[in-house]
Amino acid sequence: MTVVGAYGNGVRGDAEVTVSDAPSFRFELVSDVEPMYGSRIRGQIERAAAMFGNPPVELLVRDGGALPFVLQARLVAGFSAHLSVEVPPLGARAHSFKLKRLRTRLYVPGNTPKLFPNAALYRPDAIILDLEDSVAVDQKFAARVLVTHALNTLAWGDTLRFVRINGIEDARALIGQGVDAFLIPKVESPEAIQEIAALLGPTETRIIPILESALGIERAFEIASSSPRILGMAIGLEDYVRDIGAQRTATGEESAWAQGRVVNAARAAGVQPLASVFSKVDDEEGMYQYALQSRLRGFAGVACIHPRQIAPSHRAFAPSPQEREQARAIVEAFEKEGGGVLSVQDQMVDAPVYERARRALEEAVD
Amino acid sequence: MVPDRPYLGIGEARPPEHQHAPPVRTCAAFRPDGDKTADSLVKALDNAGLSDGMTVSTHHHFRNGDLVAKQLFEAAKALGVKDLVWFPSAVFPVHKELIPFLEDGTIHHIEGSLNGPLGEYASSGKMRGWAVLRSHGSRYRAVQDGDVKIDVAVIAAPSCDRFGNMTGAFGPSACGNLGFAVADAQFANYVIAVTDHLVPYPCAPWQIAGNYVDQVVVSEKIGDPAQIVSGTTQITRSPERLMIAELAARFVAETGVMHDGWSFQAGAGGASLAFTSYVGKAMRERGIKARFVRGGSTSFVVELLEQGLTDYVLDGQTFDLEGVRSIRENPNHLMTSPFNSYNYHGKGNIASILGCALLGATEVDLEFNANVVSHSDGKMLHGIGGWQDALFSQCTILAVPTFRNRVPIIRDRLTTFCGPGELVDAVVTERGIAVNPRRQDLLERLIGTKLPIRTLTDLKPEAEELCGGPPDPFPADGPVIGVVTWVDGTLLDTLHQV
Repeated sequence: MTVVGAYGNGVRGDAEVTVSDAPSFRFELVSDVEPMYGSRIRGQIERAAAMFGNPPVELLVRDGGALPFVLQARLVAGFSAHLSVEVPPLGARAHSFKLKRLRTRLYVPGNTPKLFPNAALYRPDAIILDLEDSVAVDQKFAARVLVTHALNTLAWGDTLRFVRINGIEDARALIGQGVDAFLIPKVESPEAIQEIAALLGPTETRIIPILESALGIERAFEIASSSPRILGMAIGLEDYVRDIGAQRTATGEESAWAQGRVVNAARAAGVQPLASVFSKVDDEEGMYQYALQSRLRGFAGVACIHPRQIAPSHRAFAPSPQEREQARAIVEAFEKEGGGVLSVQDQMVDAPVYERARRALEEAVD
Repeated sequence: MVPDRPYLGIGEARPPEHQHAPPVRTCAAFRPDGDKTADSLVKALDNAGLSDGMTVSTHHHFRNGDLVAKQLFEAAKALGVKDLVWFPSAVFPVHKELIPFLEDGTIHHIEGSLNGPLGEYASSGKMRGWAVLRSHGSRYRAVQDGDVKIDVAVIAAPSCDRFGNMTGAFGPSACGNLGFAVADAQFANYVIAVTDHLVPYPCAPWQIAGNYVDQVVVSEKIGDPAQIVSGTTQITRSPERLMIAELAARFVAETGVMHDGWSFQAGAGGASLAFTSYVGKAMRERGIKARFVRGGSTSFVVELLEQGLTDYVLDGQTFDLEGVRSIRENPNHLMTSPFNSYNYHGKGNIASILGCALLGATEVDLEFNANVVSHSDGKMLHGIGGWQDALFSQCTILAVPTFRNRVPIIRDRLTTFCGPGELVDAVVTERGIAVNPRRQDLLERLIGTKLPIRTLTDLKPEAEELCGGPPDPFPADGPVIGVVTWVDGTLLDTLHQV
């Protein structure tokens, strides 16, 4: 017997598919949306079974209002896992990578489909569909199939689509589905990056290593410069702090060196240094302060674990009105003079200062 | 009584010329020392002359902690009375314990909005009579107009004296406001107060005067405090609801609906608490304040009052302990009844004075008409509450997601018609805000803002694409099990067995 997905206990927008052996194909459907969509769901189940040659199995589908792509992913995962056959490939999704700032990247648990359709509405710079820590071990395969279908089906607007993989199999399965970047957890060597990079072939997909161990931090620059596909490099503080035998404090002094190391290595390699998460979801002011600290340390962005962390983070990464005013004065003065070295509001301004001010003005436009 | 006049349009149906009046009594029939206590509820009901087919009422100020309705029907059953019509101001999941009384014939049917287990019971066709769904305001109106004649009202009183003066602000079962029982106290043929906190005369300040009360019964326990009020009400964590609430708050701020001296209705469900919180923040930032907030009193509303962001709270219902404390301590936190706030057959009400009301809905059609009582499968799952009444506010916003659990909310045709779109000014969803084209003034004020202004016609296919097409319509081919009425007592729609 194979079970994928979830139903009941307050689960919404998902379906549970139970597959067991039977003399011939048959199915039973229990659906919370039977009166509105029952006939369409039956048709979808029959078509999915036909895709697998109507195998001799019995399906119990308990549907709590799964969207069609979710139901499809559950059916496909159920059949594939039970019959031990390959997941039928989905058509490739045309997509081109467009570089942007990564002020916020929103983690979305990869096996919780109700969170998918609206994730892009919260306007993070990127969404991370997570196949690693947020997915239970026995649901890893189902989550991979679900994420594949989600990437293939949903509209993501101009939000970048990232996937945090749990293993190289995840990356292999998702090639061609328009992934902007794979996040690779617990990276400790350039080889771990190169192995994934070799898979990616002609795609534009980028890579973001996550350093979460003492060894990873030691090799930060090597890792950051291991492939032209590296888009940014992130630090994962929970695991790192545990690995060095320290404890997380409010001020974060135990990881100050590691954070500095990641910023420096990433900047040296010309990629975006990315800060870790702030776990107190209800504390918006705390999130703002955390994001502001991260920005002042040199990070390009933070990770978010709830959509309500996005707005305070964007606020923290936007120049303050005073900073904006000063930047405007510098840019105006420098451009008027046509370069050189000059003084604006008692500050010496040269080309690098001008460049920083110009970038700050660009960043002020959300 | 099931109304027989169809809906004629807003303000078209005219009321009867005179109100229903309770019978006149004489002090000679009551003890001069003011003691109206009876030994038990059974005794009091017997004194009331309770008999088969009578209409009895209770109230929902104890919400899911109500122990009185059950005590009432146990007492009625002990007296061998059958076929009672129960006329509650609202029902809660706890009232599933009344299903045995429906099954054994003690209760004939329930005259009111049904939800939860009782909604399922009635929707499946098991209830003998029709459910007549009325709003809070319309319940008051139905009593006043004589559509419903209450034979015996049983009022749960958290604090009460022997004369029947009562308040919800004090006592171990304190719930705040007793406003929902006011109509019953005024118009019922016989009024029984049930209390677990008898105080020496006078119970002061009283919310309902003992002059209306026939008998007082002391019961060991009338409510479960943990279920009556929550310790604290908490803002939703649902990102989608937060987003809708924030968009709605930005909408009222940017359109100028929020201005110095404005007013709004604050609720506790769905996106409402978050809306109150966002609106409070916006008022603070802009240095403006409200003249009054109509509650749904919660800690969030109390905070607005105590921080000077509103001059008054006009309390319709008290949801948490902070609300109870405030109504007890703060003279600017006033109790209102549905007569003050919602009754359509009066000389005006608070609802239409309100600057803004944020409400939910289960479905909205392209004309902004909305459903609030049934789901798209036809099951009766929510009460009307004050929803229809609050539609009359000067800016009524429906806060809804574009789909719930695969079911699109914006539809060609409603499963149940509960409120006319003429009264809905905007629909705020996670995918954008649709402003009723009747409100060109609001649309004009939104020019140049960054708010995502869309149309219902444009939002509808977006949700349908995600959900796999429009849902199959509810066939409504089963027997009628209830009717939805409008605030003036006319008939809006029918509910069918599912």
